[in-house]
Amino acid sequence: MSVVAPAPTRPPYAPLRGVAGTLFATDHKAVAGRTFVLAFVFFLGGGVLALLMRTELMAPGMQVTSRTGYDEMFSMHGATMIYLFVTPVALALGTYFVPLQVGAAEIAGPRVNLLGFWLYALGGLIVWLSWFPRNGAGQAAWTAEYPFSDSTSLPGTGMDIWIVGVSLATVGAILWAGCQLATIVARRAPGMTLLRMPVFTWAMLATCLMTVASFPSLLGAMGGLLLDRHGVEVFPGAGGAAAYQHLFWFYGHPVVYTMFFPFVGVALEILATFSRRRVFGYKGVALSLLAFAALSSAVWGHHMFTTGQVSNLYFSLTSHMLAVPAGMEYVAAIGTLIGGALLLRTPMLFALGFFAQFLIGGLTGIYVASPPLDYHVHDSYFVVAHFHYTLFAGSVFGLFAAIYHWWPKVTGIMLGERLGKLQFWLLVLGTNLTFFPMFLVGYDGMPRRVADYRASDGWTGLNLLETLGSYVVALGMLAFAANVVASWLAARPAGPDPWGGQTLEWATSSPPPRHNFDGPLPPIRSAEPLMDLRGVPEASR
Amino acid sequence: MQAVYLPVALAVVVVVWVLIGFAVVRYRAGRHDTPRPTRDRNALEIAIATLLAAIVAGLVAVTFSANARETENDDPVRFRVEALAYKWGWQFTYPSLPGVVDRTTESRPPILHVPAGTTVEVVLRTQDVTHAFWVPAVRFKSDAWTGAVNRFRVVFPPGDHLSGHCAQYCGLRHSDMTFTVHAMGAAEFRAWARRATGRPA
Repeated sequence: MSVVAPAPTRPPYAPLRGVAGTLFATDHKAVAGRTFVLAFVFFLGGGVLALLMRTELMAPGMQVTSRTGYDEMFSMHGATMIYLFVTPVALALGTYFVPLQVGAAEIAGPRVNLLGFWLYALGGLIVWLSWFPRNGAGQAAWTAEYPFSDSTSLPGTGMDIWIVGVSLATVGAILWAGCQLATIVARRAPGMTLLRMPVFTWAMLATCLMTVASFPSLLGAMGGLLLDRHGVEVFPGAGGAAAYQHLFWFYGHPVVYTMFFPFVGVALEILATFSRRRVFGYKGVALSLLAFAALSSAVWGHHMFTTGQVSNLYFSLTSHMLAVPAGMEYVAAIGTLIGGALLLRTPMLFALGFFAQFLIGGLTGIYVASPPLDYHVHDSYFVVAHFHYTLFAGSVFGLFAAIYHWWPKVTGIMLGERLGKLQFWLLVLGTNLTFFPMFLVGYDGMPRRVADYRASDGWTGLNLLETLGSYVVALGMLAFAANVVASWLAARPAGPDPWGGQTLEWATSSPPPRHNFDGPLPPIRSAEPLMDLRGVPEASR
Repeated sequence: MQAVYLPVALAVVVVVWVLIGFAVVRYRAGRHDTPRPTRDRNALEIAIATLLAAIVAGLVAVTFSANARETENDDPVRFRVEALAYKWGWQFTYPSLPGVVDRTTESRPPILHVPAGTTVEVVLRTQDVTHAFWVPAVRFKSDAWTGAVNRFRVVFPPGDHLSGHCAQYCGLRHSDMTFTVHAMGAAEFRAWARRATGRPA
């Protein structure tokens, strides 16, 4: 079996070279690579803000910044991490690997995909430029809740351009998701039926469906907010404020899974690869991802239990139901491990850490899905702990699993194991030291988004612990930076398939050529074509 | 609530961590070098999904009944508080005690005076943006919603220093938007009310 190579054609224009050639290349791998690098710049920015905030909260009293400065910091931290780091980086994994995994020579709509990058880059730049106007950066938290975000409470252009920047980055994300969906629908190689797609591609399919269905709602909220700030009455009265939150959270909950599913997909593939067997419960994984994605559009009201504006019982029911598909992902993970031959390399450690730690975020998610518990912990540090266990102890660990797993494929060189393991253990220690005490102070009554607390509140000790934990996280990130530099200097060649991979991206060179596969593709008879090549018996599914 | 959710969560954590730990120890390469071919067990998966759904159904039932207890409290209201939130402070007035006002001042947060151990209705409004009334000791909060009135009933435990916070981020002095609840026994409360209204004993 072979793939017909496209007849070489001469482009009607001279290809761009140098910097312009790099910036305007339409190759999905180049677009994803740039997105990744830029997202890490924003990760660094948002991380520095987090360290400054933790330092401020280390002790009662104001030591680092002013109250306004703190409001800007947590607003920009949340906005940066969600709009400019985790969402783009999660989608960029798919931009790079979905075409490779389905055996396509190029992503569908490469120019649209490139436009997505430019909208994201421009949007991110604009969001960060909002520091400069006189009234300062966006200060309405990442949610920009109305009426606090109106022109009376937060006058000035900083908030306006924050809205514009967030909107542009969001349009970029929608375009990326559209290109991946089209690739999955139309560019699969011969033999790759839907039920032979790799688990990560399934996760990206569910992710992109949610993204195109829910992200436009944020554009509605942001567009309405911008108009409202300039004299058009868009969100009047009690109903208007509720309408803003409905628009926002209709985006705001599915985005949580946009920032999660890609890492579930890659972590499951890593568990399978480093257990040296095929994933357990393949159809169950695909089915529960789709059920999860569908349900995700019916749970947004659980962010509004204390507003008195929604049907709490309905949203409590739908939110609890999420536990079933989430639990099935864990069944697949554990079923894959049991019976394998586990190699505990760095990607495997991060994938195991992802599942072990996300569990705490997931279970406390069921907690806050229960209105009587949420009436107490809503808008407290308990919620801060909960979503950092999903997004940091979960998604960021999944991200580093993906990085250590795919770095050799993307760059052609291996990252170091010793620094990788050092980074893993530093992050495990730092993450839990930072975020676990937040459950306790939150339950004890510490509200979120406060620049200060009183010594008499009795939260000083735990806050100090959290701050020390955040410095350990920073050390872990330094270990990663050191690993990147050291591996670059050592330049140990990875070869096409250093891990015994299972899916098509490992059947090409590292890094892959411009059109992904120079030779013919291996035959695709299962979800793990490379296992078939090695003669591993097929899974009974 | 906590008494149901916490043990369930802990049990799930223990089961999952033990299974992962077991797999890592038992099936680590070197100890187990020939991976078994993957065999899906649909019956097992369906059974686990059904078990999860049953646990979820149980939790939902517990939640619904607790929610009904908290929000459909039909006990007669013994005392009513009108709470007004604004940037950045609180004003508490008491319809049965005309003229008595507890309000945030420059120097200190206000004291909300209530009788302990009986049903108190709080009528919550905001003058500007959304705020939230949170007294951690009663495990309850409600938003002060723009353009609306949120009413809820709470029973305060006795205490002369229960802390209260605005829980909804509302800008510059959100961190300082605190109050103190002074929940008194019946006799003490009557004495306070007499003093506050200036009526003779």
